[in-house]
Amino acid sequence: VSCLDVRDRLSEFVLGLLAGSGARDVQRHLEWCPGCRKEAEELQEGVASVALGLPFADPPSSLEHRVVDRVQAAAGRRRSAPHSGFRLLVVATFTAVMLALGALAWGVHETNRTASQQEAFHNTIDRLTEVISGSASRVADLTPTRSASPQGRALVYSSPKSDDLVFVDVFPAQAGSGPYRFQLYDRAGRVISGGKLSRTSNGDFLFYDISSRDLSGATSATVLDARGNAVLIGRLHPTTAG
Amino acid sequence: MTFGQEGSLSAESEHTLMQQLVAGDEDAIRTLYARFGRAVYALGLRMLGSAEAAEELTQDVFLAAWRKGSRFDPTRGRLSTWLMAIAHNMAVDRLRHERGVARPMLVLVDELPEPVPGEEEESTLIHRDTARRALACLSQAERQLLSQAYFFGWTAREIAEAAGIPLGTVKTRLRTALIKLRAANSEQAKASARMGEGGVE
Repeated sequence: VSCLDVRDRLSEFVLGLLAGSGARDVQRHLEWCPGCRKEAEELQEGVASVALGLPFADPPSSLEHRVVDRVQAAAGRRRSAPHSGFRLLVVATFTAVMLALGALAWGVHETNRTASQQEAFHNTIDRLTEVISGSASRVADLTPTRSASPQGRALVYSSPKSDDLVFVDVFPAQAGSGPYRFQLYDRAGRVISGGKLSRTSNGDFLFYDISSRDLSGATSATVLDARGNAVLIGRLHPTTAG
Repeated sequence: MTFGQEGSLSAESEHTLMQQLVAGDEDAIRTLYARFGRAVYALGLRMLGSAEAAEELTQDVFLAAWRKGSRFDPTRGRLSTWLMAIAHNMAVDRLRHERGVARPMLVLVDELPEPVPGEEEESTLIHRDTARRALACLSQAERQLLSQAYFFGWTAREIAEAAGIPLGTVKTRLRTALIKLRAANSEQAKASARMGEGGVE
């Protein structure tokens, strides 16, 4: 794009009104064109005046602490990663819990299947929470969107000391259900983790992911069916244990 | 290096502050929050409409500042400009996500704040005082146009169609308004510098 094209769109660009390729074209141009970049910087100063001229509102006093905690937690994650000892502990515990869940599920009587498996899942959460007590673990009770939808829960564990973890267990309402996909969202609705759930030998569907991705911003979770329809939805809230 | 909560920081101090922020230094986080936390929160409250959303935005903005801090270049602009651009872009993203492709109804009122003389304590308000004085240089029509673009995320084309005026005119007016604001800011900065050289506290 030419300087003329960029100047024509520069006001909208600095106001954040250009999206997609339009914004990328301008951004690329600004990287090598000092004249247009200077103009953009000057316009950006004008834009900042609009926000800075707003009457200030007093945020709750706790907000400063939350800001400090989040930034320090993120900074700590970067400094300490990988924190192999703690990570190994979490992974080992998680693996043990998964095995325990499978063992429990084998013993479940078919007529009481869902209730027992939910209890097993609660036990799973409790055991996992014991390990990560005091850290940022959150759980979501996934609510069925239809009467024939499965049931399930999701656990998200986020720590500055180790990789983050997400664990989802889905109990189909009827045999032959699935496949399912899981998606974890942040406040802006962006998918920050997800993937296909694996069918276990007892008919459940499980998903887990242990990665260096920062899941501290996760706020909600959804399970989708093969057609992409949401069958389970839920918001994450802090676990009470620990 | 320690930073006061009053007055403007030099470009060097802003750079140092951001380096300390990137390192996770608690004093640096608190300094940045003390200077801009209320402004970011006010912007979130104004654009997103709820205290909860404003609090979430504020946390996310400071986290983004930490993530992008190493890219802050004081030779390309002031810290306030950089940080408020992050805040505004994040707020616009949320508005678009919440409202999808649909745009909010055009509100034909003057949304920009009137430049009222400072009624709050002096600390941390130097940026706002400068900004308010700058906003005073805009005409009513320019303030309204800028408001539609800034607070509601309307594109120039959408504003043109809604108002029934040529697209080119909207773009020109937007640019003129922003240039006016920037020029007013510069004048304010120069005046402040002159006062400082004259020994005025």
